[in-house]
Amino acid sequence: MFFVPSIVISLLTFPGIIVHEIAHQLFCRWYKVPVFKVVYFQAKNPLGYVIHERAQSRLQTVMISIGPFFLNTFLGALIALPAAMPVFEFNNASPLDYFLIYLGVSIAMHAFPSRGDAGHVLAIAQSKETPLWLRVLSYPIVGLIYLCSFGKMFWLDLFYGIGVAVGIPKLLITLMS
Amino acid sequence: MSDVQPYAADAQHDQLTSDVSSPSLCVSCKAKPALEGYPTALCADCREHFIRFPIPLYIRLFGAAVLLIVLIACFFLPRQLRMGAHLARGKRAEAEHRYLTAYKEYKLAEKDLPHNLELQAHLFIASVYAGYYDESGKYGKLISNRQVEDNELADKTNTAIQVFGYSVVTDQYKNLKDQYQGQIPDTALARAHAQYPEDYAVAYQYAGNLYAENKYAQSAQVLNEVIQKAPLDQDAIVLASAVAVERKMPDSAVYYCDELLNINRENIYALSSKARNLLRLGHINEAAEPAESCFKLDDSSAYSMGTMALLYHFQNNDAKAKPLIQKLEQDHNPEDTSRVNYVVGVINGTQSL
Repeated sequence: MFFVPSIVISLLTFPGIIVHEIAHQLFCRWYKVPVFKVVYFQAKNPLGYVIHERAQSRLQTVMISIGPFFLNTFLGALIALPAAMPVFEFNNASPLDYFLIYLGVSIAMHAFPSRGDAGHVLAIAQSKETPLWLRVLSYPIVGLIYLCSFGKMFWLDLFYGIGVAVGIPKLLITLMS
Repeated sequence: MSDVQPYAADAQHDQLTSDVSSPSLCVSCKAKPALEGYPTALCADCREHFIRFPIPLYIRLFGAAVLLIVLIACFFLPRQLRMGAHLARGKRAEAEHRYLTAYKEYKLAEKDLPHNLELQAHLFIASVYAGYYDESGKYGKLISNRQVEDNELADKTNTAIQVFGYSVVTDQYKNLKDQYQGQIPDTALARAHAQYPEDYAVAYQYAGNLYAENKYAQSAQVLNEVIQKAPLDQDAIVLASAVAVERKMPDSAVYYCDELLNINRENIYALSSKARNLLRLGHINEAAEPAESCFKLDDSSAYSMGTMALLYHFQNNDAKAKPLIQKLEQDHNPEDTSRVNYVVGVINGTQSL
């Protein structure tokens, strides 16, 4: 497999990182958690981050950590959806369609929570004060995040982005047909 | 990649609180009392301010641009989904050799996707196997001299072009027609058929003439030669089935109907004829499936309505047969009169099936 530095990929797909951080921030706002600093994108690690107060409930902490997964996936699919047909089915795509696919894939591929996010969910899972159901729910989430993080070495995030941009439209069409 | 640090705020909080004389004061404005029960000592106003942490203008503009794109995407979405659904249904029907449905679905997709080469190729294929030769001619012209990128589709299109060729009047046949002013004698057709055995237009016309002259065995022989060389020639198979009926060989007619149905599972003639021949063989239960399928596909043609009426009659269900017969007698086209009379005759017992 050819080697492309991850920073190059990140620079190319920066809209996804911005949306990822906005998702953290919006989930904080939703749960009324004060935010002290937001870096939406920078050309060094971490590429973006949000500093906020500890959430009132453990479930809120989990949701703030995994929020980008939902927002990035939803937005990525929604943006790519109308362009997926012309690009992948009809071969009559316009430049706008290609741009929508780029944007959709960029946003969807940054849906995975980071290992930092996983650390917060793990802390929740390990805490004895956390209700049993949330602990049971948290461990698989942590496992999945680490798995996805490991998978990034094999372009899993890119494949996920393409899967969202191509797979969801195909699924919708199949369900409608 | 991106990171959220919920607990880093505590460090900041500690630094801030060390500067203030009273720990109960807000660590941000250092003027108002902090609200209790939160990890960070913030007054109500500062807490509200940080909850609504300002989003910079450039990020707002970025969000607005994304939102605009989402709106544009949403505007095109219903059309794309509708088109995709028709195309998917068409492709599925095509894969299952249900070419009437495939053609119908592709036509609906074409409304939203005109001038698309691949769709036109699919429309050409579906129209050829559905027997809509006028449409095949139209789409054949549209796709000629253009390269279909999908190899599988290109192969299917080439096969369909070959099949369409069976129904096209050849120069040889045209010359014969001109030479004999439209009334080509059998001898001339026989000579031409012997000289140009690959000319299916000549062979088909020759077999047709023999059929019209009640020379069924000879007609069947010519048609068998054609079908062996061109197994997808639907016109030849239809005629072979009709010849078998006249030769009182319903099992052979059923065989040819099945051959037609292998090409196009929605061949109205094949479904209807198969049902009638199964009735002739006394297989009333087996006849129900093709008769009903045919009626479902086309409940307005005299042929399929007549077949359904015959099925009901042989099922001793005259309550259902009668309204169909009445409708047939009242609404049929003049060219269907003999078909209607035949069905009425069979049901009245004045004619054999």
